Amino acid sequence: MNLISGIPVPYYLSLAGIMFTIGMFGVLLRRNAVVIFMSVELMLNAVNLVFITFSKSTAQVGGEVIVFFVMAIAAAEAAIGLAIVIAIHRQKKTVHVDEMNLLKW
Amino acid sequence: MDWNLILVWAIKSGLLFFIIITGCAYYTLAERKVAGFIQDRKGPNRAGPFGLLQPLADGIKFLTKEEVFPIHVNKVMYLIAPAIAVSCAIMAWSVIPFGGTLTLPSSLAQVVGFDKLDLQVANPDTGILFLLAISSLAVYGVILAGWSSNNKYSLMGGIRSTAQMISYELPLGLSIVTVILLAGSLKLREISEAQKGLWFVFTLPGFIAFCTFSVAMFAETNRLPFDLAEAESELVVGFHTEYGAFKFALFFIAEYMNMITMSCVVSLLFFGGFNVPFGIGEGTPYEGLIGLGVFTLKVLFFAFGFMWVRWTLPRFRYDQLMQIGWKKLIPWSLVNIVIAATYVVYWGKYWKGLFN
Amino acid sequence: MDIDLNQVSFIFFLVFAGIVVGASLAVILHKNPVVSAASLVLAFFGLAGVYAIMNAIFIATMQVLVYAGAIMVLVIFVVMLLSLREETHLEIWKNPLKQAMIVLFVLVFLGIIISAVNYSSDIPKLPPQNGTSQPDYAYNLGQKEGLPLVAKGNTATVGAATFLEYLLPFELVSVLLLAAVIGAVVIAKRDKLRNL
Repeated sequence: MNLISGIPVPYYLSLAGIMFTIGMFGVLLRRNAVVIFMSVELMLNAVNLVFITFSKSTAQVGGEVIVFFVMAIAAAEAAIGLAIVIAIHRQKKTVHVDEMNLLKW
Repeated sequence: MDWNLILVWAIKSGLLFFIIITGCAYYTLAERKVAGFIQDRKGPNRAGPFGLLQPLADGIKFLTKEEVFPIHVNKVMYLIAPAIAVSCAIMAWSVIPFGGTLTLPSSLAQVVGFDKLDLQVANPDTGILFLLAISSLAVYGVILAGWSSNNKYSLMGGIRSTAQMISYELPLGLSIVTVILLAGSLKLREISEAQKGLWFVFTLPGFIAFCTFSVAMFAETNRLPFDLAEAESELVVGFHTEYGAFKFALFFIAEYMNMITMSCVVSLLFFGGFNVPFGIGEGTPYEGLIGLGVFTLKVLFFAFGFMWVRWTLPRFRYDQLMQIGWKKLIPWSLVNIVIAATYVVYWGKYWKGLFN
Repeated sequence: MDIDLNQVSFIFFLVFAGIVVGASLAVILHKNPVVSAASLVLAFFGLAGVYAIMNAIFIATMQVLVYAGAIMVLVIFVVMLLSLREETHLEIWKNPLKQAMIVLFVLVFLGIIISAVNYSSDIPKLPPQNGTSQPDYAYNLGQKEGLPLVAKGNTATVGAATFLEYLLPFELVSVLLLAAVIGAVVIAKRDKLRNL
């Protein structure tokens, strides 16, 4: 049985794939640290969608529990990531990732 | 899924929308009248008998004023912010149960096709979490309004208001966790029905939760004594400085609607919702209507309480406000959860149904 | 006249999926970081709608409460307080050869994912583990006075699974959140000795 609420499972997975692709290209192409962080959040949400899709189609509840934990971890990561961005902005007055080159040769 | 169920749902939503907007308009009149009563003067009484057409006059004034757009504002965010505030305020009404289940008289039941009518638009599995989520979204209206106005005072007022609202969401949520522990379910109808014999405010954890929830409720709706971010003499009215005419009316409506929503939530969570005290009128065919009337009375009492507190207490300074939220309310709420868990396991069954 | 709920669900799915894809594109393509943040909030809303279509109401509410209501407020705060400017010196957007290469890579990547998803075999239905979780959202909690005790409903099932089967990850996540809170406060604190 490959339908969740009347919609075939590959449709949900394709939506998750599109979101993941968009997030990945956001990380690779943008140069603003906060926008890179937001693209990472997009990728995490794509993964959440895949977890819930499989949790529904195999009638296990473990997928939803994992998504709950992923959300909590994403919140923790948001707090720390943005604190680091604020600390960097205080020193360098910019968040452009091309300017974070102190460790380069 | 038949057409008549969808029709009933649509009629319930439309009727509720109309009732809420009218109620909110008359709530603004009631605020001015109560303010006058507390300050020993008459409120507005020119616009009709006892000033009853004053909201109509206010509405006409807001609609016909000239719409001013300041230059250098971000147009999209400037226009979206009041829309978000009003939408969140109205959406919260879709899960509140106004009464029990009405049994329709048999003549009407044959026409419509069913005989039990729930006085609630939607009863999702996560009722009370839905209300928390909506109040988290109301923050966006404030912060987008403050930022997009291109005005230093608006930005500061918006950021202060937002920080206050997100700080007080924590004691709000923790008090709600206490109520959920006592009631055993997240659905709002079941929380009301679990208070059949004993309202939660008369139990020890429920009483402490009611105290923390009331304080957090005043801070969430940006009302005195917590309205530093938007009072007229501070920070030039705060985040809605640059809004005039109809956009300001939308913020105004959103604020008053939030107040009535919070009054409904308090009476649902702590004061029994649509349960009649001492079980009067149970078993009669008018049970649903008596419940609806009692619920309305409780909501009106808390709405009056909002106005009473506003004109009685002085304002808190901003750092005092944040200290109350983080240093006093959150530890009390956390301790209260432990008390509630102990209560449910050991004493709950002896006190159930005490006043029935 | 009966309405086929599945068709209505499909229309809603298309609407919400469109919102998600459109808002995600706006996140990575727009120059102004505040508009990116607001589009991401819209994308999270659309995703919560997709979860609600799948009947995962608890996770949909959590998505709005945690992601759209807390994390994105934090992001918008940071963007507004740091007054981040628009990115004006992106050379990638200007070179047409690079643009064509990027579009080619995107299409190849998407093609791989979507074909892998559509042409894989049917997902097997696993038997319930330890007899605990059943379809239709019920979690078996054992017996009480001869009657089976079952937690019914979406929220009750997820709650029962979290606190009974997955209690250790729950406690570890709470320790992680504590560490994150302390870390965020320490990293973002100003030095007391500097005068600002």
